[in-house]
Order: sequence, then C-alpha cells, then structure tokens
Amino acid sequence: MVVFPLLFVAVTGVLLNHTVALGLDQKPVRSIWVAKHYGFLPKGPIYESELGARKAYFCEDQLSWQGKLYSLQGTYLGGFQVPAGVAFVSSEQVLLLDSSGQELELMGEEALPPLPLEKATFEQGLVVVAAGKSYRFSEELIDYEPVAKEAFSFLVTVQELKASEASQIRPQFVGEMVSWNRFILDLHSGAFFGLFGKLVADFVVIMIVVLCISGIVLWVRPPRRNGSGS
Amino acid sequence: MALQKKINLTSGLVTLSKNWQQVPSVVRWVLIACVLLFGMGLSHAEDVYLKPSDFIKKAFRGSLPPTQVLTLDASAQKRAEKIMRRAVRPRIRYWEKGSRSVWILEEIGKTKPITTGFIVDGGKLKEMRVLVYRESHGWEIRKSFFTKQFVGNTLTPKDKLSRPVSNIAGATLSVRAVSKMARLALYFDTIRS
Repeated sequence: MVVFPLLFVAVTGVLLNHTVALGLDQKPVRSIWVAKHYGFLPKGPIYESELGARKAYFCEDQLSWQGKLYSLQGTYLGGFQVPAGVAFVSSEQVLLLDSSGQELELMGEEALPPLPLEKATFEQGLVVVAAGKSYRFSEELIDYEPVAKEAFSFLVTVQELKASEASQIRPQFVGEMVSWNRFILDLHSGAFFGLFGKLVADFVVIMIVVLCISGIVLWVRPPRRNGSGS
Repeated sequence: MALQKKINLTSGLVTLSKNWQQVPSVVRWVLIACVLLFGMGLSHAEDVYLKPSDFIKKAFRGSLPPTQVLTLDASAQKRAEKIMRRAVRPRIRYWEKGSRSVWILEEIGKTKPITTGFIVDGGKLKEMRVLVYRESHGWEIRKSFFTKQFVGNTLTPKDKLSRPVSNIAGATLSVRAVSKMARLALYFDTIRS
C-alpha cells in the first residue's frame, strides 16, 4: 500500500536533487493540462491577423507566430511584412522579427511616436497613427516622420475570434511559466494534487518514520522464546 | 480651488483622527481594509519614474541626436548573451554624441521587465537610472544610494564591473538584473561604431 507512494516520493526526490545538472530548472513544462492547473493558460479574447497565407494570434500581451510565443504589450493593431522581416504593432510596442522568426528588436516608447499608437498599416513603409497624426517609418524602422493622414486607408486587419475558434487556438498560448523543477517539486510535496496530495505525502512520510522506529525496536529487542523448555 | 480641496482633505483627516475611537468598529475595519487594498494596488502598479525618451533628451541636454542602431554579429551576440545569461536581440538602438552614448535596456527582475537608462561616457558609466519599474518588490534599486554605486564603473576584461555593487536585502533579483544591464551597456559602448 505504502510502496507506490514511497517509490513516487523517492524518485521525485532524486530528480529534484539533480534538476540543475539535468537542466530541468530552465526547461519549461509544455502541457495544456499543467498550464491550466497553474492558471497560466490565458482566458482573454484571442485576436487574429493575416500576413499573406499565414496567421498571427494575440492574447493577453502574448503573440503566437509560426508556433513561437513572443511578448508584446498593449492592444494589438496588426502584423505587417517589412523589408527586415515582419513587424507586429501594438498600442505600446513594435516587435520586429526576421523571416525565420528570430527577434530583432522590441521597440518601446523611446523608438515610437507619442504613445498609445492607434492604428497601423503598410503603405510604402510602416505607417502608424498616434495622437491623431500619421507617421511613416523608414525602411529599416529606425526613424519615422509625420505624413498626411488622408493619404492612407487603415483597413481593419485584426479580428477577434469566436469562442469556438478561440478554444482551438488557445493551446498555442501555453507559455514557459512552469519549469520542470517546480513541477517535480510540487509532485514531490503532493502540493500539485491539493490538500489530498499533501495528506498522502504526509502519510507516506509518517509511515517511513513508523517503519524505521519499529524496525529499530525489532532489531534491538531480544527475540522471544516460545515455550518454557530449551 | 485646488488649495481649498487640499484644506478640506486635511481638516477631514484631522477630524477623523480625533474621533477615531467614536467611529463604529465595523467602519474602522472597512477603512483599514480599504487603505491596505489601496496600498497593495499601488505596489503592483507599473511605476514610470521617467519616460525613456525624456531620459535620452536629458542626457543630451534637450538636443536629441539621431538614433543609431548597433547590430551584433555572432561573436558579439554570444558575448552579450554570456553577460545576460539569456538570449539577446541582435538589434540595439542607442543615441550618441562624441564620447557619450545612451542605452535603454530591459531585464526581468523576478517576473517583469525593469526598464533602465544608462549614460556611458568615455567607457565609464556616467549615470544609471531606473525608468520603469513593474515588480511589486525591490523598487529600492531606483534610490540614489544604490544607483550612485554604478557611476564611474568600467568593464573589466572578464566583462565584470570594475567596482562591486552592494546588494539590497529583499531586492536581490532586481540588483542582479540592473548589474547585468550595466555590464551590457558598457560592453555595447565598446563595440559601437
């Protein structure tokens, strides 16, 4: 009865002792079930934007693009093909990726027109609207200059997904919040299974103590002799 | 008008403190809970001490030089990643005038990024300033008793700071984060242009 929980605690304990050597402290657990359990699966609305044949999804300051997750704070305004790669624009930041999806730069307040950005489009360069004025970025997205607002058509490029579609896309937003180290620690202590798990872990430990003490008692105590004769 | 409001608020607080014992205990507990909740709310808010763009303007006394971009090659990126112990984006924006360069860098303290401004002049840190702090603990790193430790620091051949930076109890992760950023700013300054 006690053997299986004891084995479980022993194995997780050994793993815990070597998490750094095994690289488990840096490795995230990529499981929807675990993410849900820890409350790390975002519940907010999911927004979709199209870049040619590919689609980008945005939910709660996270952007999902070609199977990778990126941090992007603010309200999502869309993604655009630019000469350097792809630029994803939010009201607070612009994330620049190369064609392979590697992050080149995350442009913040110091690199953008007065925040928040209100709209974005691509017409002979990335164009954004901020504080009622339009600005066009240079080809390499280093500088920007004000341009006439009337010259651009700001089509709606971002759409909120319906609940049924969102539930299919949501697993893409399983982040890297829980490391294997933390997950194994919670399994080892029983905390992962709530109060029941903790009580089971306590029971296992108490049983180990009982077995140790009773074993020592049996070892120290002289053996009983059966009958009166020798 | 504003002065009148201030007087009203002050006199209200004085009256409340004088008659505190007469206030029903339920109301007292509700007031205490409100103060605590408000305090907790404040401690988790994003604190913008100085906008990054204002820090850059201040560094150049109002005249903003053109934006420069430093693109890291593979070896520079590897060295930067060794300093930060994480992946580093290869494109870094900075501003320069003569021997002075300004860097706006971000690093996660415990869970959220700390935005910090660095002024490097002639290979030495001239100023370090915490611009945006988003963590709930460790905000003490923005205080001058801590930031002034960075002034005059240079980068050693092993990519360490030339003078040690004292830790702040309860803000260890934030101290580590800004120390790493200081080293990175000094390294970037050596390879710019």
